[in-house]
Amino acid sequence: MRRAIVLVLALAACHHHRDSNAPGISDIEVPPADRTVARVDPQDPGENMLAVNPGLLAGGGARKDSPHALGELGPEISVVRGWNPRSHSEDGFFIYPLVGVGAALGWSALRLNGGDADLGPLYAEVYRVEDGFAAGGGWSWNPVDGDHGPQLFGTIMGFYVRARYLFDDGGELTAGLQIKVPTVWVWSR
Amino acid sequence: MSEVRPSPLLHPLPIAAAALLLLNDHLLKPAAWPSAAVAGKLSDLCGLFVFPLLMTAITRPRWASVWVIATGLAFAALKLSPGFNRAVGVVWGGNAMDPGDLACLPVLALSWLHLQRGAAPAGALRRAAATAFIAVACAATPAPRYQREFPFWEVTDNATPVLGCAETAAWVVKSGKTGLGLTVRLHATGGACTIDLGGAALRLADGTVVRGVPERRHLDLARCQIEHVYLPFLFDSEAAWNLGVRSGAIDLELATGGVAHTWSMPVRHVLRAYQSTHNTAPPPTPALSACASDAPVKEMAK
Repeated sequence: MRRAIVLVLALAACHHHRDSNAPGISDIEVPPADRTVARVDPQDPGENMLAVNPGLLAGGGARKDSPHALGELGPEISVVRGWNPRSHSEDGFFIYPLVGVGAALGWSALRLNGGDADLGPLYAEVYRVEDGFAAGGGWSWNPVDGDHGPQLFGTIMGFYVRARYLFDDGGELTAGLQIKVPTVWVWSR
Repeated sequence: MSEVRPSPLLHPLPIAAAALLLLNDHLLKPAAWPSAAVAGKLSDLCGLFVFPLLMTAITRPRWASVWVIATGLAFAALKLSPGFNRAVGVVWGGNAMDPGDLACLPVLALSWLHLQRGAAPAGALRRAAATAFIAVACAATPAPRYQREFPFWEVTDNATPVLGCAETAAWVVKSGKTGLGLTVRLHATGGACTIDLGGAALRLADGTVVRGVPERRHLDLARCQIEHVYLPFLFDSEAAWNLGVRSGAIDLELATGGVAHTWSMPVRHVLRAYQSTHNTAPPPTPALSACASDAPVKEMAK
């Protein structure tokens, strides 16, 4: 079972190159300084990226007017459309847009509050990615009791902080770890 | 109470070798200091020394000699076998295939001698810490660096015709999103030569015609003189690429010694790979014929 999970992660966490927009930047109108050279290499226009990131969020926090700590665990999938000013030079695990915009759908599925476990709200968010940070906001809605309200969040690397205000239940603040397995499509700007 | 056992890794020598391996792989090698060759050999020396110790530490002491021999064989295969090198590269990062690196193999004797000496017993925590540190040093080889490759227009045929009194050559010197630039070399191998460059047109495979204007139109070449003329073709090469229009032909009207010629050369837009691990050297410019200014003038074919 463990091997199967590792294999799935290895297959999913990858990036794919596409050859759209592939030509580089070259000032064609200007002759080369040395007329005898064989080639003037084009300059790097950078890369566009599309990342699809399914994963899990696990964290804890506090809810206003509740004496107990709050725990939460749930799935999230996000899509980020972004770009890097320079093309990537490593072909490793973490090829990811440095700048971009994203949207996420998630579910704070399992909520632990004191001794109680119940289903938390679904949410949709939009956000901005900038140099490894992301920040944005959205709306949450609990399908069980219909409670809903706005939420704001920020992430840095694999960590997140989320503030949520549900009109019936009140405000809450949670923080934790997000484990996502991105698949990224890369093509030239 | 943790079990007290000896470990060949709990000694200043393997710890220092692993530290040097980390330092070299992540600082000295990228900076090619003191040189790329020395930094490369240093990694091989440190790696060959600590790897059998690591494997012995995590298996059984009596397998020490087996690990020394296996490390030597694997290292030799890594440096000599392209298939093995590629396979290892997939999981462990790129490793230069240089048979000269086999000169580092004698360090395995030091590794074996170290394994034969007694090791001081230590608790599980110290053993685990030393094993983890050395395993990270061995595993954390730097990822190979890649460089983006870009498609480039190329003249694929008829790049070096002799046209009257001039031996000519053409190659694409610039290629990018906004078009291509052609260098035309004119070599007066047939004696003093007057050359007039007329119109130039790039006909793409989809029927688009792009006009090019040479930077100079009239040249008076002395015998054996060589001149280069730049000829830009401005068009949306990126759109053509995205549409799959990646071939065509360049027609160049020119007169050499008063005789008109139409020089037609096929071109193709080529991308060899999205990335490569090394700078792709451009193909050399076409060779020049010998042209001695004091030799008798030969009759050149038109």
